[in-house]
Amino acid sequence: MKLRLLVQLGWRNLWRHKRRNGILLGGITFAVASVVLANSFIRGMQVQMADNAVDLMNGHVKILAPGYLDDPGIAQSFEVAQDWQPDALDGITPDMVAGWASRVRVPAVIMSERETRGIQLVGIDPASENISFVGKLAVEGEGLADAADRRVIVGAGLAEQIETLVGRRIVLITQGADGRNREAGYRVAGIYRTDSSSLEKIFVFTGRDTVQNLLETNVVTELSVRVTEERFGPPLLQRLANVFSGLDVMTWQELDPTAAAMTAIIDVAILVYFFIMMGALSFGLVNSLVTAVMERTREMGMMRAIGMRPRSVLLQVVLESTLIMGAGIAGGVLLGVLVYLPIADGVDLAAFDEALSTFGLSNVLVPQLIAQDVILVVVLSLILGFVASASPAVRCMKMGPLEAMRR
Amino acid sequence: MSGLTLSPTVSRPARQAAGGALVTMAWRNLWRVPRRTWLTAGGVAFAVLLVVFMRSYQIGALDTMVEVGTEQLTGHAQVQHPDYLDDPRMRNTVEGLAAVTETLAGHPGVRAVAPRGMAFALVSTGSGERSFGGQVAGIDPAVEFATLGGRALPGGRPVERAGEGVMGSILARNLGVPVGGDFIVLGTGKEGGVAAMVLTLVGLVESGNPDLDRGFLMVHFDDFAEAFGLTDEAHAIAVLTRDPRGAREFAADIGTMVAAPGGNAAVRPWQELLPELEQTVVAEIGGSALFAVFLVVIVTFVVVNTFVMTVFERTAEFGMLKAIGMAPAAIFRMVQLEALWMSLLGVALGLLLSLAIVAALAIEGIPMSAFGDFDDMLARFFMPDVLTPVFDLAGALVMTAIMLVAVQVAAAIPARRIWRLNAIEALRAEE
Repeated sequence: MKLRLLVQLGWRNLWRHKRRNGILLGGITFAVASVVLANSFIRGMQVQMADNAVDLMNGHVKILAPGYLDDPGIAQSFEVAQDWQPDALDGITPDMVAGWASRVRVPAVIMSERETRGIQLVGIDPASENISFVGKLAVEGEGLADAADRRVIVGAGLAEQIETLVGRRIVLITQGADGRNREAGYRVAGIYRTDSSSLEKIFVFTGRDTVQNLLETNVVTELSVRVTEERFGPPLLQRLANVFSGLDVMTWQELDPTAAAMTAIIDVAILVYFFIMMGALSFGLVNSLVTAVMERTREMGMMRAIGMRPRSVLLQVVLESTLIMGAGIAGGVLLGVLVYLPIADGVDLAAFDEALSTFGLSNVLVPQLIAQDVILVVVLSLILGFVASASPAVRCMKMGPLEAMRR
Repeated sequence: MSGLTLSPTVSRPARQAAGGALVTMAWRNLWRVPRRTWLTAGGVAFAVLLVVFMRSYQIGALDTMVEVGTEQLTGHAQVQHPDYLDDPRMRNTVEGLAAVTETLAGHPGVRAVAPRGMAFALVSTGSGERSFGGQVAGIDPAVEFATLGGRALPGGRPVERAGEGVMGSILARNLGVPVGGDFIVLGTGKEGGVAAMVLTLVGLVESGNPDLDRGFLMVHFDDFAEAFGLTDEAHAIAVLTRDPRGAREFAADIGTMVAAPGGNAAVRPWQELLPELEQTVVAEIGGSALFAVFLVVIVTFVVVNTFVMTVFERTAEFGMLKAIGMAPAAIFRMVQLEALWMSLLGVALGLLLSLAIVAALAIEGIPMSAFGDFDDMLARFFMPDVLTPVFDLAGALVMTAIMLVAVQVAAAIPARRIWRLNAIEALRAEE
């Protein structure tokens, strides 16, 4: 029997029970839409967590001197040529690299006229910090001009604690590689704000050359490279490991195992959520399909008697299931996208500030609707519709025409 | 004939008898199509099982997080200087330590009271080589309950008397100081003078959180007070209560008590000390509620679907019942009773299953290592190595109520048709 005819039969059969199938369709639509939306939020969280981990001056790949993680001081450092370029490496093209930055990051003590605090002093080249959160800071006052800038920018949280203001002077004390303390006075150029109040209290930024001058050295403590797409990370890691042999070349996942573990969990969470929602739905789906088959037993028997093949009968039930599932999936994806569009720019979750920053998230959660996830939902749902129709279809195929017509 | 009539003129006992018959009829009707009943009840059971199990797991996890976070770190509440929470500086102390401690210890809801001094200081070995910044906590070992959520490393012990100190494992490694060795703590005292201590390292702590392990040390409170110039005062007086959930009420309750002897003091419940912990609890519960709502809506669709089939298949039957004098309200009631039986079956099944699973998991607990290698993440989120789910009775009752109501509503949507049914036309309807 021709497939077109079967599809037509299936379609018409669905319309014989408008109300019942309409409700089933509503259920499928709702379930698919909820899964699509939930996925976009979960995915958004994952992207943001990974992004923030990379943004937190890690980059996708970071080079550190051995021992720096245990004892983050200037003694654990290395030299980088001024004109060093990762995209000059063999097999790495410029379009794979978003940027790189070398920094001098050392523990230091900051003193105002009023207070003293322990902080992380980071010497940066502002021109290359577009690869980290430093480049996106909202600064009151002025930002740093270049790597030789002799002023500092401090976080709003810290400024409040040490009671300093833009234009005031502060003193920084830090330890040189020889163990001797160096101190110098600096002017506050600007005060920055971030989504996370804890970051503001930790990092104080100044020019990279300024910190090197203070410490009487020309070394850096870290070099971060950011790639344009996550998949360029591993080949870059490989090249850098060859070039910087003797140093620790690490991925952001190694540097921030918490964020890496959370992003890994999310891949599983998306599947779990799908199977729970669609699992609940499948009870209704099987129910409807079984009823549709049972109430048409005589009809099917007759079809068999006038020459329809068992295979065609089976195919027809499967087609009916697939048709309604397909319509529901289309509606669900559409509904999901419609709800997604107005919130695509992000949802404000300021009420959960601290908890979010513990998980490496910002206040605004931007959902991510990824084609791949939608396709996964569509394919898995179709498979589910297929599986749900299996038992009624087989039941109806097994029945002989005479037996069926007698009922 | 008159015995079957359910007109409003029938006497009360007769109607009651008919009501009892309706219940029985509804139950029997359910089993006319057992597969459908099982599938629909299965859907209800599925939702109940998932929601109750998830809540039980979550409550186990959240309770433990709060317990670990408070009992090993902050306590359930702290008495502090009113400005200390926002501005933890040396001079923001609670005065009248002895009097406040005595008042707190006399409160029936208090399990433990521990004074703490907190300061930023430089730690070195004295040989002049390197010094490292660190957070110094002065604790009284006789009453202290905090363990930093960390494991004490073998070969050491906690601080027991003055002149001793315990520090994070990485800090000790950086300093190159072995257990038994001496180290120096240098800071700025309350009045601006130099605060100095020479201590013997008696033990190491490893929390798994590198920031903590790299820059934290505990010393005896007496040493701390002497070095930093505190007299009968502390930065925090940590309190363990008998009921962590009631920390807010407790804080409000003792707030007036400590204000009198201490003068300038505020009581902070753990929700204010660890806002990220409370927000995590709120966010998790909110997330699971949203999940439950989605699940209930989907199952409601499933039930509506079932009852559409049930009601339409039985058009002729309902017509007949009407023709022999059964009131539409009674037929409607019968359908709703069928829905009630069906939902009770599903809920009972779901509850039994979730109870069984929770009970089985609670015996051994769920080892977190089963989900992968998350050691430092667990330490950061105050999670223990083994999680014990706690059957969530309140959640189970709420879910039961929601499910019963949802199924009643779902069945009523198609069952409205019974009123519009014309007996003659319905009887003519195709079987």
